[in-house]
Amino acid sequence: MGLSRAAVVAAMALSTCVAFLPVSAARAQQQQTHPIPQSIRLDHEEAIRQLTAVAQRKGRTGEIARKALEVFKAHIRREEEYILPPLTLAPAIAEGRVTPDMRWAIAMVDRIKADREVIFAEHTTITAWMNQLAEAARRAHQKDVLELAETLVADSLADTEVMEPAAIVIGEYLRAKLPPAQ
Amino acid sequence: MSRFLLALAAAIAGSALLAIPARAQNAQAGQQVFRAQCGICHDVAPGKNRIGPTLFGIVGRKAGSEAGFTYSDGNKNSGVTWDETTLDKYLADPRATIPGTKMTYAGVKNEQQRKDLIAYLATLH
Repeated sequence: MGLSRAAVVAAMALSTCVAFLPVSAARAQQQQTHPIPQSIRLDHEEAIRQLTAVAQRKGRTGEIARKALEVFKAHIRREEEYILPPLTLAPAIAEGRVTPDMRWAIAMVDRIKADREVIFAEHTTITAWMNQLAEAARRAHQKDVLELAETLVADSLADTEVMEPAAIVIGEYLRAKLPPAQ
Repeated sequence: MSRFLLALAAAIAGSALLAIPARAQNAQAGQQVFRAQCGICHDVAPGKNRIGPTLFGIVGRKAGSEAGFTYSDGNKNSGVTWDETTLDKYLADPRATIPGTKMTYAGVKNEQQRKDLIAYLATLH
């Protein structure tokens, strides 16, 4: 009886795992096999490096940068997980190549569309932190920090104005061009 | 009689002096709100658009109409003209007031701060 109950529990656990496998496997595949454009990767690395350097300073700018860094990193994780990878397909699509192995981008774009207000809210939070950072930088006469804050807000606007819509355009183009998935 | 007139004149002058700084103080407080919450994106110099459009001359301006700034369709098509009432509503909750706005700003939730900010914006002419 004990064995049988254990078997039932094991079977339930297994079936639960199997039920979630396609979603987690798909997400894992998105994360592992679809990079972001190299130019944007470099921008992200540089932004994090600079914000981290400010976060190590003493005083108000350092204090704000430490808090902003957490929000910023979380947003970048989201961008790298499913907002920016579709953009890697732009050069091929621009050359007229559309192949079924690009279908992964459609699922990512569906996530972007579903999460647009959440993503926008993250940009809003980042802008608010950068505003605080800029004001503290002005008071502390830290011109480099002020410039960093302005750059990061401009990047945030670029995401809203260009990157996210461009990724959606790519996904919708693929949806229109590729035959429906079986 | 002349003492009475002097007292009356002093009272009038005193109330006038009290009234002027009170108005100026609102705008001054609003300037602080602007610096803390808007300054990263907006300039107040004529024609100087940055991440957001210049706020010089914002009161009385039609939304989405500042030359040299690329607005969202939401702002361009809102039909709003900025005055004390429309600014108050927009600044309280920008995205709800003009859906599609690309202004990444949650809004000024504190009513007094909002009034101060609008008082400051009204001075930008």
